Amino acid sequence: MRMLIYALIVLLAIAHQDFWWRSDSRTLVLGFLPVSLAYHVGVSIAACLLWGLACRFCWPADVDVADDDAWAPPAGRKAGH
Amino acid sequence: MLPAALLLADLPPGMTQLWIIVAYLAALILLGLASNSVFKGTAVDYFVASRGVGPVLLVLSVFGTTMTAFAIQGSSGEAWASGVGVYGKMASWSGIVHAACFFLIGVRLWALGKRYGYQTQIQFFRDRFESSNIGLLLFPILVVLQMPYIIIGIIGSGTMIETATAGAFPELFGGAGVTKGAIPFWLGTLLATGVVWLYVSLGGARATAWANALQTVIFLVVGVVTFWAVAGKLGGADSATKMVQEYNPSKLTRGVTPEHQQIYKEKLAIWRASTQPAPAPASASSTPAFSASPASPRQAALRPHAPREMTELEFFSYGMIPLSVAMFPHLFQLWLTARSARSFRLTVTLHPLLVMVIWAPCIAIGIWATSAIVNGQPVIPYTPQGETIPGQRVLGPNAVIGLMVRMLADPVVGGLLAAGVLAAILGGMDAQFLCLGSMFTHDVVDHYASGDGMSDRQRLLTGRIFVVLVVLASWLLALGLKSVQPIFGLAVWCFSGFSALFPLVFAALYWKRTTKWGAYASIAAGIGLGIYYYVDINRKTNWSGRGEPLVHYQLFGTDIGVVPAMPMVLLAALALVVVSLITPRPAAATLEKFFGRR
Repeated sequence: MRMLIYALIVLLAIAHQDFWWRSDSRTLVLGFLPVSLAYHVGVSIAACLLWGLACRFCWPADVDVADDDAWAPPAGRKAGH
Repeated sequence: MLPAALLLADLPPGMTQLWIIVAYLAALILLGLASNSVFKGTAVDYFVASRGVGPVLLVLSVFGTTMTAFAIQGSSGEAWASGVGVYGKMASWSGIVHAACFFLIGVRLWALGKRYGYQTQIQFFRDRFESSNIGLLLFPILVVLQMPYIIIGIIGSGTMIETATAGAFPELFGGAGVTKGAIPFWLGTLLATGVVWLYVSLGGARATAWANALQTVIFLVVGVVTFWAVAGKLGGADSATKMVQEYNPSKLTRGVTPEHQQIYKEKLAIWRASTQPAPAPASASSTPAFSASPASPRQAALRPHAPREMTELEFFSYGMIPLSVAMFPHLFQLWLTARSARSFRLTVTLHPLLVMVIWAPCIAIGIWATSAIVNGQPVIPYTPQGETIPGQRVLGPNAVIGLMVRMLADPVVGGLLAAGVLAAILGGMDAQFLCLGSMFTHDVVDHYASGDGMSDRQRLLTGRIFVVLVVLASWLLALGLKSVQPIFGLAVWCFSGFSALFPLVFAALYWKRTTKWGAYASIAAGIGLGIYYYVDINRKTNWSGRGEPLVHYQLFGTDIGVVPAMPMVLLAALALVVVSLITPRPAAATLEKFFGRR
């Protein structure tokens, strides 16, 4: 699943290059959206869905830091690094 | 609410917008005061809100910080200048790449920051590369790259206030054309930066997060409202786009066809004829080769834009620009405010959608602006090639959205829209001021002057002093650079520099073999190449006007143009890998500290 989601994200990055209608100024989606702009709005929505799936299935296991493991100021120092 | 709106509507031109802007700025100050009431008085609370920000506030504040004047004015202005391709090369790339940076870089840096107490990027790099002095190289680079980004915001705020308040003070402030009687640029920028400085000083990172959340909500709502208000004034979205199809069809594509060129020639001839005194009857041989239809007053008023091609390689190369978010100091600082790693999930998921919601309407408005006519006059009285109406002041791309808002909406809606655009702009500046204050405090004064031994109170005071100095310096620079380059060009150079540092942060987190010398080589190669490009491109234009952020190469006899970020990132990555492989590995203890059992 993990590899599938990453592969789909790479595929989306490739599909971003919509050269097939680079000169089409006549086709309008919904009567007002130039076709290339409509396509890239779709790319944005697809990115949202894919990264949502990545957060669900590809989340790194080692990034949760418990408060007990967090840095604490040494004696004589109040806060900060 | 309604009586107040009616009262505002009766004010002189520009005054309604001014009062709405003042009310919005006052709300920000109140927010600063509210955050100050829960301020804990520690440096950690001031700089990273005691690492207590939850998922909703994080997504709003990160998005509000990412979307600056560049997203509102730069995008609409650039769409007006070069067409619909701007959305694809900036916004949809950002949706994919920004989320990748948050997911792969932000979450892991947050974890290391919490575990080891980092408050700046340089603190992390010092430990990771076992080099106390890497800050000497990195600090000036980060500051120099951050300053243009701040200046972009300040210029944007001044331009927006100037265009929104035109006519408010005809006797007090002069000006000409569309900005007659407006709050002057210097005063507008002083107001905006002063308010940001005030609430940052009052509440630090918490005030910044709260303000950004409010600003994000405001400008998202207002962006959509602007879109519909503008569309309504132009006879509907369908009608507005059809006007562009008729007069400037190349704005709806990345490519330029012979048909686009022919339409341009015809419309240009009609416009030129309308600006000339009636000529004496001409011989048949002097008539143009094409057939122009008789000019209506509407046609005569519009000067078409010269078609401009966007190559596929240029379009692709812009994918390197959003890598810059991985190294933005102000975003790093915001990431550190998160309560937990899981707080990032909402940010990673929703960011592409939020980018779309704000960019798509702005791009559409920018495109419509090329061909918009109201009451027989063009809304934008100039084109990238010059003035449309003789004697009109040419304000450039940055003012396009302000002019559309001011001339297409009623005063109350216009004022609300101006406040919304300002919200987008100021939402980026606050975190930038705060992070520069933090960097000066932790990476310079604390590290070099007192050997990381400053007391909490000293750190807090130093940070606040540096924020004042940064605000003042930025404002003065904005006044000086106001007319030097459009927002877009300046932003791309700045983003390219941050992008060149992407291989450094990515390798630091994911490649154990990365060494100190590999890091130095990567920084020097990527930034060095960027400086070379910047000087070379501007030298060719005698340092005047816009230094087009494109690098040209000859490939098989064809001229290709890519953003500087592309070769900069590639060279930085190559230098990092090669030099790391020929220099000694980092100590086992360092690898254990940063990679554990990974």
